[in-house]
Amino acid sequence: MFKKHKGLLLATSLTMVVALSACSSGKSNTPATVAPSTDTAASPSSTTAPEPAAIRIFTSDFSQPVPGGATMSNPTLKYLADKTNTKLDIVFLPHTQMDQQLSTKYAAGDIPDVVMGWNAGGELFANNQLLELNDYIDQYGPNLKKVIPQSAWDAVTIDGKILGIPEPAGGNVTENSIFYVRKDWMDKVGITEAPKTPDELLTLLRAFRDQDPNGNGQKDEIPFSSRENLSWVNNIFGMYGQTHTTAKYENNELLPGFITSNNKQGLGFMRTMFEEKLIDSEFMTNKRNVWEQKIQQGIVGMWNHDPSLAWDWQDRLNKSLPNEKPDVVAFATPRAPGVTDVGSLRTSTNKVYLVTKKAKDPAAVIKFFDWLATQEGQEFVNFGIPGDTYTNEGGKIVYDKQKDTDAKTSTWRSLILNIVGYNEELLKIKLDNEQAFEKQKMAYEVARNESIPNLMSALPAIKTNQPEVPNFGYNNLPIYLEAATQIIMGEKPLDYFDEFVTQYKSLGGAEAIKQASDWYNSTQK
Amino acid sequence: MSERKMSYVGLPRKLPNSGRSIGKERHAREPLAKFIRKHWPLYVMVVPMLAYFLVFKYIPLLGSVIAFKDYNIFDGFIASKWVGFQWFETLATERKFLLIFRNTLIISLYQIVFAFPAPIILALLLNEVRKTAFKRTVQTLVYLPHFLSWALVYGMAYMMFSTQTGLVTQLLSHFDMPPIHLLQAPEYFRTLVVGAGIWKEMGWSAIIFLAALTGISPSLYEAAQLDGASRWRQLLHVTLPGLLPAIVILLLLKVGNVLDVGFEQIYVFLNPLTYSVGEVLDTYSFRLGIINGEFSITTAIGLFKSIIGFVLLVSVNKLSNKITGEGLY
Repeated sequence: MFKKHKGLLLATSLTMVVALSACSSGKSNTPATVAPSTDTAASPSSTTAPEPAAIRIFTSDFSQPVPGGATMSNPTLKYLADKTNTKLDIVFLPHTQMDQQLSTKYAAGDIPDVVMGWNAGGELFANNQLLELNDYIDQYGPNLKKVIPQSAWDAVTIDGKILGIPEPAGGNVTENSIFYVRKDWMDKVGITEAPKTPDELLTLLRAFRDQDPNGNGQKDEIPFSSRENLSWVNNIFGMYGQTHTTAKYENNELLPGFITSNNKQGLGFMRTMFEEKLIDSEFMTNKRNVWEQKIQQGIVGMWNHDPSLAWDWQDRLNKSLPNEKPDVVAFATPRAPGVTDVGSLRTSTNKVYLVTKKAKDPAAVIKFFDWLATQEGQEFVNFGIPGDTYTNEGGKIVYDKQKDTDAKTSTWRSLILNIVGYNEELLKIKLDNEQAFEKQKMAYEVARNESIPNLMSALPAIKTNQPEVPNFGYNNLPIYLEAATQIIMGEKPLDYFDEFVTQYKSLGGAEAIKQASDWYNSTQK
Repeated sequence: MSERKMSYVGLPRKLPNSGRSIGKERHAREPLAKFIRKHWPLYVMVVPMLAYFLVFKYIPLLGSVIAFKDYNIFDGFIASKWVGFQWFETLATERKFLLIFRNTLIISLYQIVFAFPAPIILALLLNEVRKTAFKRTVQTLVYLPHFLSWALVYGMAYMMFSTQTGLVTQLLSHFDMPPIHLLQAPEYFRTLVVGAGIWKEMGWSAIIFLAALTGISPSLYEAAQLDGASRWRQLLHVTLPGLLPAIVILLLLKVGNVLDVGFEQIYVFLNPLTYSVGEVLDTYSFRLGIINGEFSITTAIGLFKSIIGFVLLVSVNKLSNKITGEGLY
């Protein structure tokens, strides 16, 4: 029975493949023949407009409703392609599984012209697959050079070679996780100043727990909430100078942050929080939507998140709790005594567009990104297609935010295509609200003034050939997550941490540390 | 009885002489090429299936060589360095491997003991129902969960067992009982996963048994009734033997897959608190292979699994042939 069905299925799918490929080959012919003619019509001065360059891009979908179907059939991307004289083929990969899907695609030999990444290191770099961009950017990227600050270029430069086009962090900040707190709750419990030390933070959280700040008479407050696999707790650990994603240089060795004594203190703090019910009892299983819902329900007092979402949070709470006058503010990470750098890992880039050695026309790729950095390009990234979602009359921009939001184009367009860190003028128009602008500015300021230096930004991929500690760094390392949760939830004493460190080293950690330290001592000192 | 059994399985095996004689006759009468030309539509129909197995099953088998190489995706299959049995040695000396292997076997055992009989019992129960409308309704309701994805099942489990908002927690609090950390507690993990599996797949798997039940000749029941057999006796001596071939085949297939416990099912429920009881070979190799890009060692795990599955299948099939006279081949 089954075998017959499979055969039949295959036969039908075979015919379908044939039919499809016939269709698609027909399709791909049309733009190639039509595009030059429209181009000449648009710019009559050039008699022979160059053929649009085909660019294939892998990017994250940032968990947004991205356009499905062929890239060139989407009006927004079609406009972009026409403007930059390219033929785009953008492949959106699911945000949370991006690394896995990239590995699988590379393994299948599918290496595109451009790949979005988070830094210039990583798999492509380690395998010498990245194109050095210095000359191309000098020649074709004048606008890129103008709008992207040196700190962002530095983050993607290894041995003097620029290996990607960075998007500076929003607001040109230096970290991507800060503390948010319900200021209205603080007012209710009578604490006016943001906590400066871990002890003051505990006092505030205890007050949230005990004094019913949401005023419903029930003890349902969650003073602090975070997400599964110890994500969005960085600033708690950061009070002690290291988080699990940072690295520390100590005694001629480069150590991953999670095995340092600073991190032990952080775990101790988390343990106290759990013991006293100051952290969400479900902090190890909260998925994003559950976590967001809890905050929007008005039962969470404090959380860590991205600085560029300050207004987003306020706006959500305004909508979900219209009677409570919620007030979400960002505050600087408290500082444990004797710690110099607090906060979360220093990141001066949001994302990086890497150009591979497989790129057919690197110059066209750089020109493509350079257009996004022009004033016209920035307006497109922020407001969409002129005449559709915004108009620009003599420098005065009128933005139809409702239309842009309804068309579901506003979020993915800027998340994926933005290459400019901070354009105050455009930000003001985009938020269209003085209070929103102030909130956002304040959060950016917090995030610009703290961070833990990133010692690993140019670290080449480290391989130990040990299954449990295959590389240097965090990457949701199961043995760390397991030990950390057991300590936090009180199943193991805090000193179990030292046992964990020994174990980590014997399972490949020592090898990883040695390789990383050799690299650091020879290139970074 | 024996005639009916044959309609399910083992037809060629039961008739070895006649099977061979067809071949012999063909050889005696005409050459192979002519035979094929004469019956070409049959051979053409077989081509897609052969192509399917060749392209999707046999050619990928060649990729197993990377279990013996230090595979680098940019170098490719050919250029990567040979390392012999290094990955198998790493596995054998891996601290966690025994634990993971044990977890896999335990969960698999639970599945065979609890999840495997569930659809059989359901099918037998449904078979005894007289009102067709009621039977159909129940059948539809119990197989609906099959169409939910595991992510959704986890979402529902969360809604039931969340310690803050869960239905069960709220029920417990009505009786002044403390909430149970069902999703975070290692001691409940396997029960939860196997239980969720039963809930999701029981109705769907019962379909094949229901189909087998309709194949039992009503005359057998009539004869049993004439002999004065009660319903229970009929179940024991007519229905169950009628089902046996189907049960044996599915059990054999399950034993062959004893190390596959269902990746998604486990993965959605797994969190760092339950690694110690819930990490199985599939989730472990996913983490290693896909997240960390250790393709070689993952392939080694896969190969190891296949070999164990193969050996088990062959030996259990032999055993079954001896004891019950039923088997896959």
